[in-house]
Amino acid sequence: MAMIPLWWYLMVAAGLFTIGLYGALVRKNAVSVLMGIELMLNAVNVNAVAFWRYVSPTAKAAAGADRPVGDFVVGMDGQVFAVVVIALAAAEAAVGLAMVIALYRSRRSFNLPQMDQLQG
Amino acid sequence: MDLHSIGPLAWLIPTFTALAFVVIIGMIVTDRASKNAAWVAVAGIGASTLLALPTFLAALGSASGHGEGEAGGLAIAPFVKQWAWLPMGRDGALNLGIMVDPLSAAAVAMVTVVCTAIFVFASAYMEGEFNNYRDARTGLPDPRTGRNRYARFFAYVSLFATGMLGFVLSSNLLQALLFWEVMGLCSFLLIGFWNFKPSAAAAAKKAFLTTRVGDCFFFLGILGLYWVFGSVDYADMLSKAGIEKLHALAPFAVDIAGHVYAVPVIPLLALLVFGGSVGKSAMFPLHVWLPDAMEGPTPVSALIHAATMVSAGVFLVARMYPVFSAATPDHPGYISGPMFVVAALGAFTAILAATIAVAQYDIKRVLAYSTVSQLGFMVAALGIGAYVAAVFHLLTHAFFKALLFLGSGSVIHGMEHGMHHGQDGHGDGHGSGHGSGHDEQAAPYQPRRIGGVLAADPMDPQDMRNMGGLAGKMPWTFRTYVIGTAALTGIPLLAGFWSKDEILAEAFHKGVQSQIAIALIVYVLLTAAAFFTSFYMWRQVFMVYAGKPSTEMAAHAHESSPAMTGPLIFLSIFAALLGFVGVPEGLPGIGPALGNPFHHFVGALTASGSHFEALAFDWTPMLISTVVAFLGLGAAWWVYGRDPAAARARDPLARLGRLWALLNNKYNLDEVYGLVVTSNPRIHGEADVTEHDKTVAERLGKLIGLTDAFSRLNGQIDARLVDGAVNLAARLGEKFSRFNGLLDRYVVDGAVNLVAFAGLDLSRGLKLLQTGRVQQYALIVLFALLFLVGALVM
Repeated sequence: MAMIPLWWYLMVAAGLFTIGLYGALVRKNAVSVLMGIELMLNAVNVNAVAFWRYVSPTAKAAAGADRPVGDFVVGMDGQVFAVVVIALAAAEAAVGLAMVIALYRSRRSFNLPQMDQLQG
Repeated sequence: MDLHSIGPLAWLIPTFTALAFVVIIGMIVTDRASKNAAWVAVAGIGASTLLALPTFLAALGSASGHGEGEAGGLAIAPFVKQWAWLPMGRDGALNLGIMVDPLSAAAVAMVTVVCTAIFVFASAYMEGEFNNYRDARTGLPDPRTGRNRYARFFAYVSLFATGMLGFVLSSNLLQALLFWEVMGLCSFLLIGFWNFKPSAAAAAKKAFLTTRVGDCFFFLGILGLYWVFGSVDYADMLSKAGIEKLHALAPFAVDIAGHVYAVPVIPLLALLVFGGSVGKSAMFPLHVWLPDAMEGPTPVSALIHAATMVSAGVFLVARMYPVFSAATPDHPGYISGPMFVVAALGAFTAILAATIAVAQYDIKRVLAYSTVSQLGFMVAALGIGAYVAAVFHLLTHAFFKALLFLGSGSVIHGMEHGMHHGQDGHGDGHGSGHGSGHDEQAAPYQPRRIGGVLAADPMDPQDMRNMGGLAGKMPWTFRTYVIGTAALTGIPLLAGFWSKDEILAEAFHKGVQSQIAIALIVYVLLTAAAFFTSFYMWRQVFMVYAGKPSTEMAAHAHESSPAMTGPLIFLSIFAALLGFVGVPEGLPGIGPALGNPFHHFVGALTASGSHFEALAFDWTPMLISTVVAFLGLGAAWWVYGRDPAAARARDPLARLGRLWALLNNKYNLDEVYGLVVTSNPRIHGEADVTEHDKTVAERLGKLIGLTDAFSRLNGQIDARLVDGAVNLAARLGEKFSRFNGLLDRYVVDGAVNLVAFAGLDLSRGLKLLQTGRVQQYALIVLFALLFLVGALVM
């Protein structure tokens, strides 16, 4: 069966990452910046799973099914990365949103360029 | 009781009063001060008395137990118990200990009994302090401070009694000096007890500094005696061996500018020790502090001027008598050099103070000069070798002078109450306690002088011109006061008659029969002083008690409480009867029956082996002194007794004019001291330095132009040379500091500032990077990352 080549996934991930980076760097709304960060994290997830599926030897073996099942379970590192990153992203979103709400309460605004109190 | 069973406990006698002191101080610091302080003090001295009297009786028993022929067992071997305090030298040590011999046993019994009476009296007398203390500045009632001051007073007097008892009982000279200084400290604290009065503060300083002059000599004497004996124990010095050691000493060669002088050691040491007595017992020329010491509360006057401190000086001479008489060769009636000085100074002081006392108006000041005069009697008696008579007079005088002082305290107390009674609508009828001066609402008193004599302040409760008629108002005070006066003036059969007569009889015997010039001079001077004594004491009695009251204050005076009259009655019994222990045996009738126990007890005193023979009885001096006493009484009655009210209003003796002013102003001695010693007329204890004082001071200043010129020269040296050097040093210091300042400002500070400014300039570019905007930071991170990755790839 002809598989979708790896670089397709990589293109999607690169696109996602670029959009996320753009959002994080350019958007003035703090919530949008957070969303940009989420996008970047998810792009990384896509990369991690894609590389696991195509590059990692254990994944290959599992796909070919000429290896015992125990090794297959051990060789799930790409997916574990992705799960950890999702959990981390959830935590980051919770903290980030809490900060944004706190900022909003004190300033009635989400506008990041105004928040430059630490200017030297 | 045996002395060897009770003697070892004698150290407890001063310890009880010391404990009372500690307990009362504890009450003050824990804020529990109350009237109990007085009872703690009375309990302390009472315990001392209860131990002192058996000790005295035991000493009496062991002294007479050995019979006359053996010259008294206790006198040869006094009971000594001592502990090594500071071991030093080859085998010597400075000891602490007690010595019980006839002299100290008699003195300790006297001191404890008199002190007990005084303490009880004071517990009532100081109540004004307790109840009515007002802050000196604001005038507001301050009961807490009042309570504390009341307690403090009893702490001080307890410590004072400790000082005297420790001094009397001490077994060596150094310990004696320690307790002697304790007394000095306490007298300072007590004279200045009303320290919010400038005059009291000045008097305290004066007393302290004046006695300290004498103490310097005393200490030098102790050092000299230590040099001779290698010990300061009485047992080593006053024994037969010790006196022989003194005799063996060669004169001490002193080289002054090439001339070698031979200084005889014994007189030198004796006179140095006597210097201490001159300060403590207020002999001329150091007597000036004692009359000013009247600024203290009256019980203190009784304590200092009767029982304790001033007797300490006489006691010291009596204690060291073997050293004084050591230069006497072995034939009777010779007076050694130091004893000559002692006799002359004593007699001169006696007559000087007696004449001053005639012209005083302050009730306590008369008694103070009387004390100086009587101390002169004792010292003169010691000087002519009338040892027993001197000690006898010391003891009797303590009783009747304490009685007189307490009596005057009772009078002042009554007058103060009369003063407050006279001012209706004045609160609770009590003012600001004793000694806090005049009531603020009364018209201020302007000191003015009439014929050179300060006029009476109508609000002064101590001025005899404000008194009169108190005989009826204060009957018990009056009766006891008359007994005390009669005893002091030598009215027959009372205590002072026997003791003073014994001194005069000895002087008469040595002066007239043995033809010793100094004794004759002493006899003449003392007899004259006895006349003046009688005169001024009866003058005082007439002015205070006779006639009609001169002021409202006196009219409203009333008798003091039993706590005050009780001690008066107690002491008056002694004043009346104590003399009978020393009646000459030769007196027909009572003499042989009484047997003169005092002479037998004290007469065989010294361990040096000398024994004082009682004189053969002679009617002549006894009759002369009786006549003199009654002459004084008669003269006082003639001048003051016939019309006391008029005498109070205008003193008949003021007709003496300048002589009267001179006497009233104490021969201007305070002004002389002010010029010569302190060069500050304010220091001499009286707050009212008036124009008159200044003119007197100026006149005296011309008289002693030499001193003046010397002072001027000194002043010039001081201003030019000493000040110049000081100023030069100051100027150099200033220049150097200025240079240092420049160095600091420009070099040191410059370096610091350079670092700061450089840091500021360098950071100016970097500062632009820190915009505070997170997204820009992230952008920088991004570009940096790209750059790094690019670099890595290429």
